[in-house]
Amino acid sequence: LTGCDKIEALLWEKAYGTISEEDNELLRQHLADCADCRKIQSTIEALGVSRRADEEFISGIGADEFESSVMRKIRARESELRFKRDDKGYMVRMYFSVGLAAAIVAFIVISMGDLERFVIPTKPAAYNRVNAPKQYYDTFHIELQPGRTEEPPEPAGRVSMERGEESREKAEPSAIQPSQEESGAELEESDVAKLFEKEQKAEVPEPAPRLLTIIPKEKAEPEAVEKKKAEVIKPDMHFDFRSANEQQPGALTARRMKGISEVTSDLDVGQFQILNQPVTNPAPDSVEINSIYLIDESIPFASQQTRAYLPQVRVDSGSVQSVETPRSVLVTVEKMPIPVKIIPPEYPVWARKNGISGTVWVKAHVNDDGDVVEAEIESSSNPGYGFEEASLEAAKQCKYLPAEANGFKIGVWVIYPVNFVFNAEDIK
Amino acid sequence: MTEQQLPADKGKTDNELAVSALSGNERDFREIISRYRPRILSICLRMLKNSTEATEAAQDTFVKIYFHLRDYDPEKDFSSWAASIAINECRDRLRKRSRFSQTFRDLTDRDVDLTQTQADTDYESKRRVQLVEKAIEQLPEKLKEVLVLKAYSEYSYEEIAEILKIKTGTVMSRLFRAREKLTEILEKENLI
Repeated sequence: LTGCDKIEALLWEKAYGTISEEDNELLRQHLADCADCRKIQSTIEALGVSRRADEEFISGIGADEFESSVMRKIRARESELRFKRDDKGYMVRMYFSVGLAAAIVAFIVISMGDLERFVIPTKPAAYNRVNAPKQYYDTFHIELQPGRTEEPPEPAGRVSMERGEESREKAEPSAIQPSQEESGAELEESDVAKLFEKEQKAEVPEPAPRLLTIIPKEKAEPEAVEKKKAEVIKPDMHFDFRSANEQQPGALTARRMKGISEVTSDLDVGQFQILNQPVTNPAPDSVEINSIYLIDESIPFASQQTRAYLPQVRVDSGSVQSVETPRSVLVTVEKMPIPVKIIPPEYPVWARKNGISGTVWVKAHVNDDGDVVEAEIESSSNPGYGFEEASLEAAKQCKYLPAEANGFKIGVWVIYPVNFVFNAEDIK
Repeated sequence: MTEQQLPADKGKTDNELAVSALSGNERDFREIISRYRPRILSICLRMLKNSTEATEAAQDTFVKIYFHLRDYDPEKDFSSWAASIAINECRDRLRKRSRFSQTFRDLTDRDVDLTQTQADTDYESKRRVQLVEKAIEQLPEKLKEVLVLKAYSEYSYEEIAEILKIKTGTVMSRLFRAREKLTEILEKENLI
């Protein structure tokens, strides 16, 4: 420190203590000459005055009073902390509250899981081509155009598919039925369009319903072809074809279809045919077809059904009834459920007393184990007398041999009537 | 704080007292209060300007010291540690106070206290004290802290550096600036 800085330091020192005689002399000499340092001296002295005023004030504050105030505050703070730390009741209450809250949350979560049971199952959505697993199905959508009379129509159907047209010729010969040689020139044209053309030229002058020949494999004789061709396929019908797994073409065997060979020729997997088992028993002359599901033997049929969301097949005493949904679906059930244990329903007491008869149609779902897993009332002639309850009660106790399709056991719906016939003699 | 204020029979050093108080010795903690009461009070009084609040702040400082004794490092100077707690307490209060209006500060001026406690001093002296205090009030907080610790609580440069966690050089430069500003203000007031 030099000059005025040192003088300032000395001035501070002097204000709050003592300085040596030499420094005192130095100060006196410097201050005599330096006006700035005299100002510094005045400032520090003024601060000293203020400090002494503070000291006086502070000494006016009672030391004991101050001390006891501090201790009082400390006690208060301590007891506050002790309360939080030591109050067991407080901790118990806190843990209880936390536990209760956790239990409520857990209850809500579990209840939400249970809610699924109460969600009413909705009808499965239509088969979604876009989302369908590609490795299992290729869906071909064919829309038949109305027939024409004057000029040869274009190949029947607008075929929308991803694969190219070039595979058509390749596969076409194989699509031709073995019965083709016998069936003459008419059948040489396996193209459906040409078949239509001839039919229309010969008989119908105006746009006629489309014709499709379905030839079961065993009945592929010329007569059978003659008999069965020209069945009713209405215009604007939709044909959905699902091919088998592209990676395993061999899995699809011995099932061929004639009359729609144009389409089948584009499938790499070979020939297709409607399953040879008749759909109804006895086999009808014709069936309406909206959708045809080709069976891939590498996949259990039942799971294919699930995948395709097929409408349930309704069965009456072992044979297929017509499907009532707007779009009928051809599904083969080779073996219908065979009842092995039939429990007759009890005659409702109230109905018996009043001499009431009635018929209840029961719809029961026989699963692939042959058990009735679900039963509902399809219709009731005389509701309100307990026929429905009795029928359902009995239906659920019945036991069947499960239905079979393609060698696999499947679950199907069966519909059967239960006749409650009042007989006056019974009462006697 | 001067030696005369200390009770003659208490021979323990500050650090010994702190360690003893930490182990639950209340008498030694009371001794700490009596030793540091004037110093802490003077800091609070000059920083906060309001006597009531300053007393409160000083009491709270001791409460904090009591509950934070375990954080005290016995190898360091106890007085600096205590002063830093006091400074922080004052800073907190100033920050809270700044949310209130300026009126609050004007109303709680310590002028009244001075009139009462210094009834015997002459008018000129009272006026000087008031002017100096107002001048200090005008200083920025950082400069004010250094000046208060030096001029009112008599801490050394090194102690102030420790209290405020700054370098000794910074302390000196801040003190110089504070004194310079103060001189300016007092000159304007024709006090020097």
